[in-house]
Amino acid sequence: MKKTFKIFLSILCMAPMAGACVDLDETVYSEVTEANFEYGTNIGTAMGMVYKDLKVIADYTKNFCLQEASADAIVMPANSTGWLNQGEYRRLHHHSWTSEEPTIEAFWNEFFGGIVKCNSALDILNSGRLQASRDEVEYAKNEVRAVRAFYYWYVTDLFGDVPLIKGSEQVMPEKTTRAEICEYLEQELLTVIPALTEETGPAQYGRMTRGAARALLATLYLNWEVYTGTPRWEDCIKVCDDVINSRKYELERNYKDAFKASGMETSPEIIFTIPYDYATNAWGMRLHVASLHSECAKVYDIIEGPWGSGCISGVPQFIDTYDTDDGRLEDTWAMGPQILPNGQTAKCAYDRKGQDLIFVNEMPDGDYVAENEGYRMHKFEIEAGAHQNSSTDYPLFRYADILMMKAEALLRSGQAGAGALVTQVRERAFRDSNPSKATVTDDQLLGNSSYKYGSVKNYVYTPDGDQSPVKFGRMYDELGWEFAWECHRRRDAIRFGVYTTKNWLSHTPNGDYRIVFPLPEDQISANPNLKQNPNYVN
Amino acid sequence: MNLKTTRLSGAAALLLSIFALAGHPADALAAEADQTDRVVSGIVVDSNREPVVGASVVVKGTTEGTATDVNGYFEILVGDDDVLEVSFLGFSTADVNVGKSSTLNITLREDMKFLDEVVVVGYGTQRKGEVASAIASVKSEDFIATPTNDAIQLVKGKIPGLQVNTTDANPTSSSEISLRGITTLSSSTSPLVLIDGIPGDLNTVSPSDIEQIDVLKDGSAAAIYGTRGTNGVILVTTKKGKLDTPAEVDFNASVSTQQITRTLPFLNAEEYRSIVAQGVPGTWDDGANTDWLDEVMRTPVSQIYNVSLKGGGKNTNYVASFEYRGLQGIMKQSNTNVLYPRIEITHRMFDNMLKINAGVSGYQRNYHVSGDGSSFNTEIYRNALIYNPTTPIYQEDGSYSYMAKNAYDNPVALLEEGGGEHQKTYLRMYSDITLTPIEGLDIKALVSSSVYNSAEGYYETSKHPNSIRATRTGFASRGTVRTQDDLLEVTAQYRKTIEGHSFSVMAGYGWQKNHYQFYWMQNYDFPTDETTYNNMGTGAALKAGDAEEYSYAQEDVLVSFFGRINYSYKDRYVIAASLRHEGSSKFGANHKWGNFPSVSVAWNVANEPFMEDVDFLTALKLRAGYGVTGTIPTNPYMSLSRVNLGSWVFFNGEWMQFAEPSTNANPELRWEKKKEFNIGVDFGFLNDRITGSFDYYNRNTVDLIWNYTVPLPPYMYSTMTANAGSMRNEGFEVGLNFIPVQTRDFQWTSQINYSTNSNILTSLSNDSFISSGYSDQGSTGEPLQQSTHRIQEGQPIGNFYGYKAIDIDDTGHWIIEGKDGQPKSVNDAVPEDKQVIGNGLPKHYLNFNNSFTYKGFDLSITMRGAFGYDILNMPRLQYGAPSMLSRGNVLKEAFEPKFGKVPLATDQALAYVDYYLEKGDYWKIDNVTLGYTFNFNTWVKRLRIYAMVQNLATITGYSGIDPEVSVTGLAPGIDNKNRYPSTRTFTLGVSVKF
Repeated sequence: MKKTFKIFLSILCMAPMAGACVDLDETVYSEVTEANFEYGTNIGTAMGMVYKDLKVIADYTKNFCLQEASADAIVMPANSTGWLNQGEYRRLHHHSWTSEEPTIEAFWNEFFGGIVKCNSALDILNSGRLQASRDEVEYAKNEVRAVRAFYYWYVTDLFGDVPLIKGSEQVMPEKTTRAEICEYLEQELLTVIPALTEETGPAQYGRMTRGAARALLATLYLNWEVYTGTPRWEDCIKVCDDVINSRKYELERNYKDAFKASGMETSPEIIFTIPYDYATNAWGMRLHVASLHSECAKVYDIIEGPWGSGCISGVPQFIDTYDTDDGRLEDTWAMGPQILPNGQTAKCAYDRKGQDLIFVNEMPDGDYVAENEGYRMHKFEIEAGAHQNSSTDYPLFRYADILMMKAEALLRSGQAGAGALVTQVRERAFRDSNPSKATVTDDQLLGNSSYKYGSVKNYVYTPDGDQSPVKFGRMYDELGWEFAWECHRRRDAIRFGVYTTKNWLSHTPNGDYRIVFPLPEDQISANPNLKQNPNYVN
Repeated sequence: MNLKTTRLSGAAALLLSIFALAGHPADALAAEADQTDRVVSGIVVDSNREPVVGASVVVKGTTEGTATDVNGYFEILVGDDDVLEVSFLGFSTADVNVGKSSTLNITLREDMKFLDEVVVVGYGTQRKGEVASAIASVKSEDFIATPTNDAIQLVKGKIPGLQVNTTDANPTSSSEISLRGITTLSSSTSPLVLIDGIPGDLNTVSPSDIEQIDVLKDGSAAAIYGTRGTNGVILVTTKKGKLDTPAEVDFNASVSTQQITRTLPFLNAEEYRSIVAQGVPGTWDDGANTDWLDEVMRTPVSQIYNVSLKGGGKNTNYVASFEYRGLQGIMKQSNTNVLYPRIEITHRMFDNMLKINAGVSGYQRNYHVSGDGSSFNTEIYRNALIYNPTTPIYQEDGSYSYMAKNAYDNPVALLEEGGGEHQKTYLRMYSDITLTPIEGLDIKALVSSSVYNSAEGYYETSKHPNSIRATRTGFASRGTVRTQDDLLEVTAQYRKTIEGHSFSVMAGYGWQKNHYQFYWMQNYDFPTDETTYNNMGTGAALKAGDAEEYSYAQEDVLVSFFGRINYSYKDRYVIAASLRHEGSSKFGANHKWGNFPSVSVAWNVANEPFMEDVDFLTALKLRAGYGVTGTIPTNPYMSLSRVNLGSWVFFNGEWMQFAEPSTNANPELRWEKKKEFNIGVDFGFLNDRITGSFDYYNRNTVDLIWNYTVPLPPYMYSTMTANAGSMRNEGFEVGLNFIPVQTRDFQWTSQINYSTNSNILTSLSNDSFISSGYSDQGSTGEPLQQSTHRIQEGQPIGNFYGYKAIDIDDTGHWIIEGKDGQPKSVNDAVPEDKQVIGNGLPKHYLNFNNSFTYKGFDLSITMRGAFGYDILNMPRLQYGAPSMLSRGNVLKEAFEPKFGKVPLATDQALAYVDYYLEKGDYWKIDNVTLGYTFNFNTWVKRLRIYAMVQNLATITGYSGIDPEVSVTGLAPGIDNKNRYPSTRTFTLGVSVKF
């Protein structure tokens, strides 16, 4: 048959054209094929992709809601302008999420995508296709390994046992235990930390440096007991001390200065961060539009306003724990009347249309609220002219983290000094109101949380559920005040034993197994070697 | 009785006809002759109303007779009781009672047996009797009366199994077409359209230029088109000039207007005020009375003019035509203006050994756009529905009333302060040469190039709500699209008949390249609104890096070798087989080529000697066919490892672009294949007064192309375009044609078409790609943000998947059925409580078409219906809840009790429950046309005037605007809440032949 075709062809097409008559190679115009691509001399071209998926962290539809809306500081209720989103956020609040949540699937896909990209970047770096010096390539490999460790820490923190893939082999992986992963991550980090630069500043901004890798290792040690059952307080303290003693970092003078929209490249407090940028489509930072009210567009003079009456709000019981003199209350939350540039108060536009737009710290429950109920996001600077995807960066490790981690490790290992470290962090928050209140002692930190756990229905608080004191509860409160909106709360709530035991707003405990999320159902189906986490039926 | 043939002057004939029209028999003329013998004149035409030249007109039982002249005109001396016998070669002889008439309009029917019709098959034509596949053919005389919006509407309801759906009345939208169910998941479900053998869209040709439309329905017919044949093939044959025919000019003109079929019952200003007075949250009174819908709608006037010239000499024939369409939509400013030029010449030389054909055709289409990249901005319609009816259009200072609410814009401001134009040109250039070296052998080479260009511009002034909200001064976008489709085809065909054995062999080669490119930019903050989108450089946003621009290009190549053998013996036994060997550049290196065979057999029972005595049966043919067709993925490059450079990272102190893999490349990507088995029977009874066909088919699609979930890790992305899964469609089609009455003056033809299809997704996995067996599809849109459909293994496509509402609680919150069958509040619902609550794909389609001619009058009525499906009434879901008062106006039913108990609570968030699913069954009186034709014996040969109503009436239980909703894709049956409303159209028209 083929021969007949060829004879037929040569008659049809003039001899030189005969090849073109059956040529089915694809011509690519707007893209480049992997085989043809020149990586050039800038190593960022080859390894830039390893940082891309971190941008998911602040995305309220992927990671943020899992980390914050499932815990006791933030809630994402529906209202008359929508925000029900198939009930996902409500189920996070109720701890009734399933393995089919789009949020969980999206997070998994992005973060494991990031891990595979790290492996792929290591392959490219090893391939010799880069026109870069050997030292540069070796450095890049260590940096990529550090980034991969960050991804792995995040996924094992959320899911527990997960597949551990260290290279680009195409196998259907099985799960590796959380403890094994932690040990692997510890070894990786200990290996790369000495190789990474200690320098900070614009060239290292947004990248894994020695400081960032140490901060990650300290976080790993801080949560080692949760992850493996065995505490590693001393190791945590040691790594924190390494960072402190490097003298590369210090706290910003003002709390707000750690969350500015610009100039953060030279901030002494930022250890690791996610740079966002509207103009280059480095998008994902949309917390302001998901939290504030559409009328706030005029208050902040932003180009694309928040959606409807907004959603992400503070749990009133959590807001109530703040000391009113704590500057972080105002620096973190949009509260009270929303004042327009002309000095007037903005107006409600939906179910309370005509009333003044005053964010109030009350909610009937955690499921459905009126348009002005709940305090909103004021922490990350909202620049005039900002779009729905803002250019404000989202810090992952700040120097305050190091101080607080060390404080907590000292406290938990029965050593003195936690109070002084926490006081150091508090000072700027009380400097302008009541400096004396900044001081907190070791003993105070050992005390119970000021959080009034219990449920709220029709605006009425009932002190129900587990009312036993939270161990090191004041330390827990301090973490909440310092790190609100920074995707810390779930992790902290688990470590302090609150996450699966207490009632807040409409939340009641729904099983200890919920300290890890279920693996996405799609992945369980696609990879028969994966087993679902305990107690999650589907 | 003596014979007198007198030729009256043309003027007298005209006079005669006018008398006839006025209802006065030509008594004056009759009085001149004696009581028994008088002059009767008449015109003999064929069923196309073309004059029959040289027809014999004889008084029956005598030798007295005459012949018609070049205009088909004759005069004869007759008595009242005489019968005229009119005959001409190729036509059935007609006996005509003279009676009291003095003028006779006589129509001769082509003496064509049902099975002698010529049908167009892939790369050629055949007599229907020779065809063993399922092919439907509609000739221009059976078309739905023009004007229609696009070519496929000519055969709407005329072909069993071919569904033509008109989902809105936007003048820029075209019909949805589907054939024999849904056979693919991710690729287009539209049939391949070939216009005189060249791929094109159905709107690339003027409906007035079409001579015949053939549809290759089953796999055995379509397999010759290989990878493009899965959804069936529509072969459009345009009108041609005939050799040795004097030049003929046709002129058609029509004017039409429209009215909305139904408006949704939203609260008017007064009703809304009463809600405000009750203090319902979210409502307010601005003091005015505004009918927003009225402000954005109009009474449109559309006009269509078409002129065509065709004819031929000894060796050359030609056709040229030109058409203008100025269509207005019922929403203000929505329109489309189209020019369709066409010219084609065919010349024969060397004693017909060589035939050369060349032509150009295409269109120029301009239409107003009221959205960025869209034609009509449905936000205008949506906002006109929901904008507060107590709000005035303008504030006291003359500016538009404005509110900074999301998705809530003054519709008049949207309409008047935004707009632009899309200007599209399409040119099809083609030529073919046919060499006939020996009798029966045709060698044909066809080349064509079709080029489409679109220049697009859109602007929003500083007063546009988007500009005010985003505090920008003006916004503009510009874009261009260009496509070029090149085609080369060489075919050779040989036919021979020896002693009852007829055979034909065809072989060919085809090469096709499709290139696509587009460019799009936007900018804002302009120094003036005056230059709109015509001075993009003056905007500030692009320079500041805030606005965006894109460009893209892609290309694919399709190469094929194909052949077919047909054999028949004495027109009794027919067998045909074809094979296409086809390759596409879109596939993985190891799977570029695929084979698509077919075989079909037929038995013409009626042609058997033993059937000779069975007089009532004029045709009976049994058919069976099997064929394999394929589907190509929509996007090219899916098998390649590509690098994306579109993302940026902050690295070494600056934003820089980096390289990352675009997708999970699939080098194993291959053809999706559909295997179809078809059996059918064609029959004709009572001298073909009753004809028809039955067809049963079973189509199995395997290796479904889909974005399958893959394990991540090790893959980088969670989905991959791959082959797995399978789907089955099974159905039954009936087409019946009747001629219940056929007399000299009166003829009634009737047609009934029925089709049914059942679909099942048999698998969504294979060994390599294991999926969870389902995928959620469709979207309710904001604010609910929920998927509407689920495709699932073992289930049909089109299942609605949501909560089943069984009750409402005392406070007005939905109670749904939980997974365990127990009632629970919708607020406690978890995804596992969802269930299949309906299906959006119609199970049955029925069409009933009738046409009547009485003397010069013609009346046609087409009716059609779809049955056995559900519609998700999105307007009710979205606007039927009081919670939506916070977003704008709502339907009156928001305050009506549910389940006969209480209305929904104001804090009941929108819910996707089966309460909003309604039965979609409908029966439409679709098109009613009444015309009258004058035949003249002068420079005007014929004149027809007609009046037409489209979408006249709909009988349905569905409460929305129109149950004819979109039923293609994987989320069929949603009545989109923003859908451009459907209309009833009234048309007056005239056709003149010179």
